[in-house]
Amino acid sequence: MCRKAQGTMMKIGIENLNIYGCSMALDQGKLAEARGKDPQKVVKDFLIDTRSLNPLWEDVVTMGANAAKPIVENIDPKSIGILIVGTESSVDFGKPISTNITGALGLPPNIRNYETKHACYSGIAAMDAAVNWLASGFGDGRKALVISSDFSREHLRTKEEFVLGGTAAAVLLSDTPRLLEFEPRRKGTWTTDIYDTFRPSARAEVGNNEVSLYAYMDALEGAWGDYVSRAEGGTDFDGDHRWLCYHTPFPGIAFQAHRTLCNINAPRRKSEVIEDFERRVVPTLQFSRRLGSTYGSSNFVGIAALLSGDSKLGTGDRIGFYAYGSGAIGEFWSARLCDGARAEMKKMDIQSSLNARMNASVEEYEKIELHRSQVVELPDFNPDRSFPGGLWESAYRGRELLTLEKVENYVRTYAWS
Amino acid sequence: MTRFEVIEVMKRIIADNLDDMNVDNIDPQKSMKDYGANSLDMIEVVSCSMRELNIKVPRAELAEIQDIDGLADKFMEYIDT
Repeated sequence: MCRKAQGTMMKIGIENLNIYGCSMALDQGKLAEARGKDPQKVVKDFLIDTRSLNPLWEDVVTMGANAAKPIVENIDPKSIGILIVGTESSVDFGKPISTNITGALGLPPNIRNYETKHACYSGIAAMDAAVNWLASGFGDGRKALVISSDFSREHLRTKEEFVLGGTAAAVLLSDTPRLLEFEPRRKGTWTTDIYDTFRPSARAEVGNNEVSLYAYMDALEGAWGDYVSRAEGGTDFDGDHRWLCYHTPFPGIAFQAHRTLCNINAPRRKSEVIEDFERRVVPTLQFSRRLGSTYGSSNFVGIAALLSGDSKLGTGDRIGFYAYGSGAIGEFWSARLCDGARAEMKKMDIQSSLNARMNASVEEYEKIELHRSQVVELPDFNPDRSFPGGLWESAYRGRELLTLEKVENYVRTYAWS
Repeated sequence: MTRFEVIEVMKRIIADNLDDMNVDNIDPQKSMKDYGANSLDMIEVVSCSMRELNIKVPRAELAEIQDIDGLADKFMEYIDT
């Protein structure tokens, strides 16, 4: 809770949430087979069943707008005072995609908006700024819209090819939360200056896997230590956190993250860690297993998965979150479940939208990714709606999804399908 | 703690974490990858070793190290002798 100027306590949290998992999915097992790998081992190691895939007429602008549309169309747009978009995949180095999205969604001209960047931490950075804006009271009771939108770059036939994907999350924050209520005074941060995974150009997404994994764990330990030292009233890893949601560049890392925190707090056997992992962590991974890398949306995807699943939830359950951004920063934060959160979340029916995605073949995936890499920096580009065959007609035409219509002299034009 | 003792601790933890591994068959001049360890296995071995040796080494300093001997050398830098 946050303290109002008058001395009373105000709630701040998530009022509504949606996840957009693209319109296509690539089967990880089939990709493994095509690359001569053992499909079962690849799926088991990374805990990814399918990864999200975009056609050429989608980018992080369309993904973000498509995630936000079902939220925005059910409220008065004037009730939103600020839009912050977190991304490491922006389509422009100067113009923030928050402006494209504001235009596409028809948000009022007096809305503050900007982009945040910190690799996969960008979504939580955006949320953090929005929480502070709400707590300040300067928004005069208006709500904050936070969007996180990211998509992988082309990595055909590299070892990184099994940890790719993309997702957008739209999060409506306000002083009338229905899903989660934040605990702003329970947050721990740790940062270091390192090159683990980074995007030095519009096409490159490079780094060192081992450096990144090690940095992730260093930041986890550092952020948890800071959380413990700052948490109001102290904290108990096992007793206080009914659910734990770790950042997932690939969901398989969540087990190692959980094992690390378990052993810091009270060393235990691997079998005990596995049992606890299945009880407190696995319910947050059900969507990321279908999305692949969720980048800046990771923690939001975890919330949506937990609330969309069938685990027994209790009002006030505390969820511990670990957010990580290469570069690097780690943040451990927590929030509590609101009464009726599951019923509210299920209205969004994210499960059905993931089920409706078209299954792309490995050949289609390769052709799309190669083509995207070739056109991403061109000043002029018209996406070919005839490939993959039938996708436009079945998943877009008349469905009111935002799509990239053309790029002309670097100016991007978007249109609702 | 001597370098020999550090290597003995690491060998025991490697054997505990990898399937079908016997302590006596671990050669410190090899990489854990030679014994089938994936990146997450290596993270666990490093975490357990640091905990048992009561040292805290920034893991990011370990990424370029090629073999178990190299890891032992790095750990020795952080052990009060």
